[in-house]
Amino acid sequence: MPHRLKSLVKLHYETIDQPVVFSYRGPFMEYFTNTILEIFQGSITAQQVIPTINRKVSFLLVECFQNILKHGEVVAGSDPGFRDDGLFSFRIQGSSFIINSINMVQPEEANGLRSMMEEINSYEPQDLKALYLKQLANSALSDKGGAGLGLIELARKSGQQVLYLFEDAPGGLVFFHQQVTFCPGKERWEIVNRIDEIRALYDQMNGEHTLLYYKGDFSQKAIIPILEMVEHHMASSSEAGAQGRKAGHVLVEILQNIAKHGGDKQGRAEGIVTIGMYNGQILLQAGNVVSETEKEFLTEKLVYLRQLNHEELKDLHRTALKASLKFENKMKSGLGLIEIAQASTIPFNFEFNPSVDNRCLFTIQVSI
Amino acid sequence: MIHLQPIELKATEDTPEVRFSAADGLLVISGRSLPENAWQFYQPLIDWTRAYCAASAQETLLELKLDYFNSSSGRFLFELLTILENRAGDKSKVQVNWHVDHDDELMIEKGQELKGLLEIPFRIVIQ
Repeated sequence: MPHRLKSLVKLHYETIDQPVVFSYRGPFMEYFTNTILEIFQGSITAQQVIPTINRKVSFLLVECFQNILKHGEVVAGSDPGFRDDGLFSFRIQGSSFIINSINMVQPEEANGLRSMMEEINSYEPQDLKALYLKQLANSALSDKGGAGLGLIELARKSGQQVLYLFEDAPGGLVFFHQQVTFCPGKERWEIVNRIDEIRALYDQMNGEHTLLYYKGDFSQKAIIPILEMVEHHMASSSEAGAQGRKAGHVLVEILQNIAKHGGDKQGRAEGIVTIGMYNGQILLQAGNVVSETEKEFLTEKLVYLRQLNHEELKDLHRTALKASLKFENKMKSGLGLIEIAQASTIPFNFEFNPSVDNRCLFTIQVSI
Repeated sequence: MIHLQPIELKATEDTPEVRFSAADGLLVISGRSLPENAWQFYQPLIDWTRAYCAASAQETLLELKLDYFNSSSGRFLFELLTILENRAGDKSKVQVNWHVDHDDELMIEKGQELKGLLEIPFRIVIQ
């Protein structure tokens, strides 16, 4: 099992100015439209996003995701149960909401898309409505539906040009990269093109078999849809149900532990998590920024847990469970880290790296 | 027969379904239990069970059908079970059934752990 905490640490540093990042590397299913919206809503609990902006971003997210569902081609992956559909990603940076996607299309569809994008981007924002109505009236609907109406809506609602790029993909297909940027209150300001960065992330996630990457608030509102996404993915893949359930259990323990121990000065619990699969193993990695005191506590506890075998961990859990009833603070059971250690099929890895304000980034990797 | 209002809670995305009936001596918890604040969810159930055990030594069946639960829920489930274990009267009148899927090692192991810690009839029902 590769030790990949370095990648997680790198992701953390690269996105230090982005409080929310979500990237999902297929498979894309209709079922996930709502899950992605729920993850977005959960991710912004600590951000102050006003309802009108929230609704607009939600609309853009749904439209972008459903475009992939409608038009994306699926390529069988080299790894069974891990087919390649592309990538869907959103992030918040400053006051901008940025939605990137990568999916594969047939060459003839790419040609149609290219001319449609060129036309849409040549219009001034105020003229897009006319184009939309013209297109709606013509409605020589393509067999997949839409006739570019979705793309026009993305440009209209975001108030920005939609960035795009076409590149050769395996199997004679074409990669369609798209970026929708929404910066409330600003019209056509200079957009930062993130397509190269997202391509690099896609390659990294492909290379490391990462299914999902999330950075943001670890509120229960965000944890539950992430869990549902992982469970649904496991249930629909060839992975055994029991392994998927165990992964779900550990995921909840890790994320809730972070929510409890990782709060910043404002009491927000922000963290970073990746979920991947490698040679039949599920790999969970998570990290958050902790204080020096928490670092000492975690180091002592994790070094101890890491050297215990299965039977010793069982004994320790039993003892800790009995002891937990005597704790004055009913919110702390001391069981979470033991359960994470118990579920890991090989000893977990963890490390600390420097962060801002004399705090440090704690990262942990668990294999199931 | 004691007059304790029954508890009936529908399952939510992170809390289980609960049906506690003093009249029937039947306590059921089913689904998954992942609340962030397990204390808030379980304290009323623990208070209810304490009142029930103080007032009655009738035959009692606790059916636990959990898909899975987080560690803090585990702490409160254990507390609830110890209240049943410590109640006055004949302990054999309490029966705990721990329902679990045959391939769910994690929940089988959790059932075995609780069974080992308690001195009440505790059956692991494998489906």
